[in-house]
Amino acid sequence: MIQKLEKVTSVVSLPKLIENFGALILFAFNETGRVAMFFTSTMRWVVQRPFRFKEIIIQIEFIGNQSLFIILLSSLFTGMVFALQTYSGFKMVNAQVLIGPSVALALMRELSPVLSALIVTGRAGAAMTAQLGTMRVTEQIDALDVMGVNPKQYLVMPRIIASVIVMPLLASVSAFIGNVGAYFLATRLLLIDGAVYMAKVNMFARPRDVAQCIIKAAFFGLIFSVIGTYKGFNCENGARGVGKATNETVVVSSILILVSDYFLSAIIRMFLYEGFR
Amino acid sequence: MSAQEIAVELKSVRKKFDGEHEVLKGIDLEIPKGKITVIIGFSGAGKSVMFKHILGLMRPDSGSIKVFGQDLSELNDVALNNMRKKFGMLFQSAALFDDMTTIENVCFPIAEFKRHLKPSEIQDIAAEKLKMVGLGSEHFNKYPAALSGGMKKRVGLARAIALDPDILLYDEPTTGLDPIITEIVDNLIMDTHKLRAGLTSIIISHDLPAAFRLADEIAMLDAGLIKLFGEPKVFLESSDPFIQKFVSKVKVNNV
Ligand SMILES: Nc1ncnc2c1ncn2[C@@H]1O[C@H](COP(=O)(O)OP(=O)(O)OP(=O)(O)O)[C@@H](O)[C@H]1O
Ligand SMILES: [Mg+2]
Repeated sequence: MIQKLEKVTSVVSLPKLIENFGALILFAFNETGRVAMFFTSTMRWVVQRPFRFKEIIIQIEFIGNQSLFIILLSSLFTGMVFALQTYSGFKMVNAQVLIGPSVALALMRELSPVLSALIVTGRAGAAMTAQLGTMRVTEQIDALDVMGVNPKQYLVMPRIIASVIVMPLLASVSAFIGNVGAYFLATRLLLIDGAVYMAKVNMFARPRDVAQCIIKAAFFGLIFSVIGTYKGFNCENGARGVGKATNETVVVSSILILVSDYFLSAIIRMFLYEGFR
Repeated sequence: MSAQEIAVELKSVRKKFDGEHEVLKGIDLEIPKGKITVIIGFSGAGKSVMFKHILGLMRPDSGSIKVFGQDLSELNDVALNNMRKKFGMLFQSAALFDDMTTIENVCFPIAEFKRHLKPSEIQDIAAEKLKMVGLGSEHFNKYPAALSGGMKKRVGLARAIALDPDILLYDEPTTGLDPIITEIVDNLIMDTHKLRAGLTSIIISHDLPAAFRLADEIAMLDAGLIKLFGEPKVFLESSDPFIQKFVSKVKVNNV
């Protein structure tokens, strides 16, 4: 596929271009279908005994633990820089106090779920592919199968469930810390009155914004965990294959998170807010 | 032959990959219970694919596979999962779980399937299996990365027999090991086989002299078909030039 695309750039001909584009679309559809089948066949095992509580807890601990500190740090500074950068604009119209709600809404609706998801993708998502990929190429997954322990139930399902549970928590913590950072920057350095700041936040922020944060984070958790486990589970070609698959997980998940964010926002606006416009 | 009980029966099993490359072209094979059957054949002949069919990890395009009379195609995923408890398998790479210690590896299948047992009882069974394959307790708490190739095979075998399987499968148990460890592993297979009456061992091997030493029956897989199946002497006496060529090495060495 990539070789074909390279050829196109040297000899640009319209039919070839269309043909290649068609092949790409076809590949994307095929792959989507395979991922969907992988996901549904995994979810069938959720209701099968034994329930994998222990594995789910281990994964929650792993995913949360791996990323919590970076998320705290980056959220704190994101909140602060957001407050700093919006300050001059709001100051022009003498509305500095609106920094509070701007930061609060931006974090809850967009920044916290997206940023947390991208960070966790780079760490836990990549780790999932590397772990499962290594297990695949060293026949450990076959060994589970042969033992009668379904590897989708034992390895894949706990990672997906854990991600969907952990992501809303991480995104909520991120939004909270980001707001704390913005609050301190605004009240200490930009000398905005703390009581007014909070009053404005209370005026604009609504429970539905929290809901948006949670829904998005859970969905993004679903994306990177399904991609991460799929890529690892279907790994080929030894150690080299594992590296390639890990890389693909990060790229594909990140793109899907950013693209789906738009559509999720549109849908959430339609249902939780005043309609699309 | 007819009076013998059959452990695994393959009937005109066919398997194609990607709709073109036919690997199994109608395999007919009856693997007797309680015996050691060795499967030989050139690299890429489809031996591992045949194993995967026996374990139900792959489904044939046509034909049927029966394990103790039970047709695998009639089983759903969950039933198939349960069926696999009858099997133990030693992988070429041993396929130990590298995030678990030696004893944890052996405990794993026991803990999975004998949930009524206490952790200490599980440990006891695992320790007993490890002793059976000749691994001392000083190795119990090592991780696989700290074990030699021969030791890994022992742990893999201990894990394979942890649930007292009826059928033990070995995929190239000695490929890539030095001659001394090869002999140790071969003896291990022999000893393990004698451990329990009625245990069926099926071995994929590239090591022909060992195959002839271990085997009660030999099946030769070539170009997707069973070329010849029978006791070792049938192979040695065969006049087929292809088989002659294949076993000539054994004749020089052993007979
Ligand atoms: N999952 C698969 N998809 C596509 N082709 C496969 C798959 N598994 C095996 N094959 C093909 O089937 C053929 C037989 O493979 P198999 O692994 O059974 O050989 P083998 O007899 O075990 O060889 P070896 O002695 O080298 O292990 C090979 O050509 C291989 O490329
Ligand atoms: Mg093989």
